[in-house]
Amino acid sequence: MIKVKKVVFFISYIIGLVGFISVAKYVNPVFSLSFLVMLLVGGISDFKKGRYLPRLMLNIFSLIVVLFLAVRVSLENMVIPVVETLLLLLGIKFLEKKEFRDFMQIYVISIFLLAGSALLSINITFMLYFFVIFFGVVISVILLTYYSQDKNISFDRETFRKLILNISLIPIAAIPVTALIFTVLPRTEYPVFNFLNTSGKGKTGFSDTVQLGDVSEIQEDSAVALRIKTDKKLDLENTYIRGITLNFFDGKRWYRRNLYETSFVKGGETVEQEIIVEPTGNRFLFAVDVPVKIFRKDVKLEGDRVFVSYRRIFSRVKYRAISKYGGYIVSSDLNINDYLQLPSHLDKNIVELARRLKGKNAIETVVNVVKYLKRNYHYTLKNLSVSNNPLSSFLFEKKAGNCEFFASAGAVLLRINKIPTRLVAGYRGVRYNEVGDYYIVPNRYAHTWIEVYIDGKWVRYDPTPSVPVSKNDGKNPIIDRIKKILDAVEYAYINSIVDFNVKKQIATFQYIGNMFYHIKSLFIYGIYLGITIVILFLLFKALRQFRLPYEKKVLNMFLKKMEQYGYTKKENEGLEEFVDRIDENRLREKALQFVVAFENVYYRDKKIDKNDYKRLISIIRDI
Amino acid sequence: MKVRNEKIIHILDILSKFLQGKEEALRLSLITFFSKGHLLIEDLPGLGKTTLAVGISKITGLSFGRIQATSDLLPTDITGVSVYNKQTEKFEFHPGPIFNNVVLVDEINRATPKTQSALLEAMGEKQVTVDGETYKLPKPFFVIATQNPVEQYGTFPLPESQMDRFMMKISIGYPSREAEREIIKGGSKREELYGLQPEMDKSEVEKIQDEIEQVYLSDKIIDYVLDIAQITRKSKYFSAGLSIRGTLTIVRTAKTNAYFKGRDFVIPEDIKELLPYTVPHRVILHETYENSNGKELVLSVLKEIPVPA
Repeated sequence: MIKVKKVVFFISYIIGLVGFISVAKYVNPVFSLSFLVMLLVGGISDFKKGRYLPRLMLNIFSLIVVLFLAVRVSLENMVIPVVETLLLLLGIKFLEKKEFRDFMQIYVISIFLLAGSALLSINITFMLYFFVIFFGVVISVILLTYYSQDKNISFDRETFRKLILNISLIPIAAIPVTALIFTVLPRTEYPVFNFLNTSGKGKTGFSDTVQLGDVSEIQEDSAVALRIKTDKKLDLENTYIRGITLNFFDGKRWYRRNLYETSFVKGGETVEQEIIVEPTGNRFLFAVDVPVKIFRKDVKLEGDRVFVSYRRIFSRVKYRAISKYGGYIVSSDLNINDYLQLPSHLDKNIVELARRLKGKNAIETVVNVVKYLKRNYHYTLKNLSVSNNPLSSFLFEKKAGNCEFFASAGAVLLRINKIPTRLVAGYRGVRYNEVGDYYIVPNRYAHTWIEVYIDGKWVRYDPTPSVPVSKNDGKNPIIDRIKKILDAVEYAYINSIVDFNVKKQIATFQYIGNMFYHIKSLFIYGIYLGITIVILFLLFKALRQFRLPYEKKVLNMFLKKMEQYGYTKKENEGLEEFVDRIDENRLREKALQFVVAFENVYYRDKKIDKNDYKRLISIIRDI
Repeated sequence: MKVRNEKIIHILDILSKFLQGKEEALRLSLITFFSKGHLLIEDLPGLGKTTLAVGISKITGLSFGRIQATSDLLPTDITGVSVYNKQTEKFEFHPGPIFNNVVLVDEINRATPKTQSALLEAMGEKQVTVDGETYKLPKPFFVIATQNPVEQYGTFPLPESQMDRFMMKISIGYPSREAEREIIKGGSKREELYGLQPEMDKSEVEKIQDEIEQVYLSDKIIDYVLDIAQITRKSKYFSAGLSIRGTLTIVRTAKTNAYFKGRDFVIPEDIKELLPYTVPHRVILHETYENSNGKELVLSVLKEIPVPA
């Protein structure tokens, strides 16, 4: 026979231990040691039927531990003290005589510890710990329901094996469902499998390649791509937001190839931004041209001042960036040939055209090319060249195209004239949302332009004829206004809830706190008080929601009272039968009075109202 | 187990005089009577079964009939026969002793199975059919059958399936020393018993029976009853559990019990305290456990069922 109790205890210890192991590397050994000692003592108490420490004492101890945390925690060092505190609390939990809720608390704290470990490092062992805890908790919770029914319940080996097998199916079945719920559904706003098709042709928007001649028409997509909060006003038309650069052109398509250079940014006005990027499915992060720095751990700055994230961006990311508005990039150590590359089989007409546009010096050539393109071609998203030689088709037949054609043509024309040029993809133009005081960049503002390398500097040129970016905005001012308000709400939501920035929030708190106290510690106590109140409030609400019906509550009260007198009702005993057992006459009569009153309501299936409830309570008090 | 309904207390008080020390048996009989059921008493002779039956009939002002079962008792001896009347040139039905409100069938296990089943059918259907004519039995109709557990020779023990037709199976048992002393002192009270004045009449009995039907039965109690049925049906000790008739009996007797106690709703105790009389004779023990004490076994199984509240 296998005792459920033993199994539950065993699993609980495993879960607690795994929670501990997941963070053991990061916490102070003193805490590790204390935890292990408490675990051991708890284990001895549980398995050797030893005595338990009184709950009150342990609760006071827990309180002290939490207060101790309040003193130690700081903005710079949040996670480790919290993890250490949780570890101590877990240890204390193991010391207690364990009831149903204590097991639950053990599981919750262990899960918190594991979550804490994920904040400290991402490691594949996390998955191992996670699965141990996940399965452990599911199995244990179900066994606990048996245990709470009957403390001495046991199963024979075969039944137990079947039971465990069946229970294990629950988490196994839960995994795909969980994956669906937690990873797919929240993103349904963004097409579910869009990352399989991130180049997103046929729609305006940023993509990490520039390809010509494949689609004849591009639809405008006004979904939000970026939200930018800046410390300075931006020009609504002529703000360029830089994404990536592309240097290798095969005649149809631009790639990033062999980019090495060392660069720094010069000139311009410093603009600080806080940018929220909607999921793009690729790795590149954006900032106002010319980006200097992006404050994000998992981002690498490449020589051409493109910021590459280590992970593809499948969820909203938020970061701070610094740019030089109107500055330029000073680069050295670059291989000029990489920026002079031309597609093989270049149309002779293009070469001829390039020669025609050559000026006295490089700058003049650039100006000539840009002017030529701007004057002689017009911008369109419709009726684009679809051909194997899109550039010739654009330059000599259609004479119209989107920014990709202009930029590609510009780059090719300049390269023929031996001027190193590269394509830059990003966004041009911003919309100001005065409701939330931030800028929105919709997908259709995606844009491509060129950067030209002259005298060791990369300078931005935009060969696309300037079409007012806001031409489609504000057709209906009221709807536009409503949209802005809605987006501002979303922005606030993203800012405060989705992208939970603890540091920033605490900083806000601290700012408010400083105004009142100027004493940091007091402020932290304040926070803890606040958090405690919120938790208590939530608990209270939860309890109210899951409260027992009045009947059960009253009955439990009565039985508890009788237990104080040394009478415990057996499960198979009726109330009158139970009361009949009482030896003391007075007590029996009082108890009977309650029982009769209670039965009158309970077995008549009457709903107990507040008055009945009070009456019954008063009888119980009288006992 | 106090009775609180005043009318019932009154009846119990009067009858107790004739049945010293057998108040429990008396109470159970009355519960069966008011629950419109029939009673099987398994006991040795001479312990007051007749007194009990006569007492109930007298106090309620109902007619009393007695059948002494023997191996040559014929079904028609119970139901009655049609006799040819020369004057009217017609068959006339002469009703048997079963056409009474309270019928005592003494030593039912001595009758042949044929006779037994005729009797049990009459009990179940509350009507008899003789020569193709159906005759309704009077209402209320209450049969007390007795069975002698000791004598086995030449008897036909009631089959288990027939036992189910009795609402309760009780045994009176020997009276306590004190009670017997009183009986000896008082001498025979048979004469006095026959002269007993009725305390209620037929319509009042029926009224009480109707009131009992109105006793409230909570869903919680129904669940409790179903639990009981379930456990007897699933237990490894029994090859057959409680029938639907069995669960209905439990409910009906519980209602009466509650009514006796002055309540208009049933509590678990009403059921629980009657289980030893309502359940054991309805379940059939598994072969392996045939030799053990059936009643004890049943009760030990039922004991574990948790009570609502």
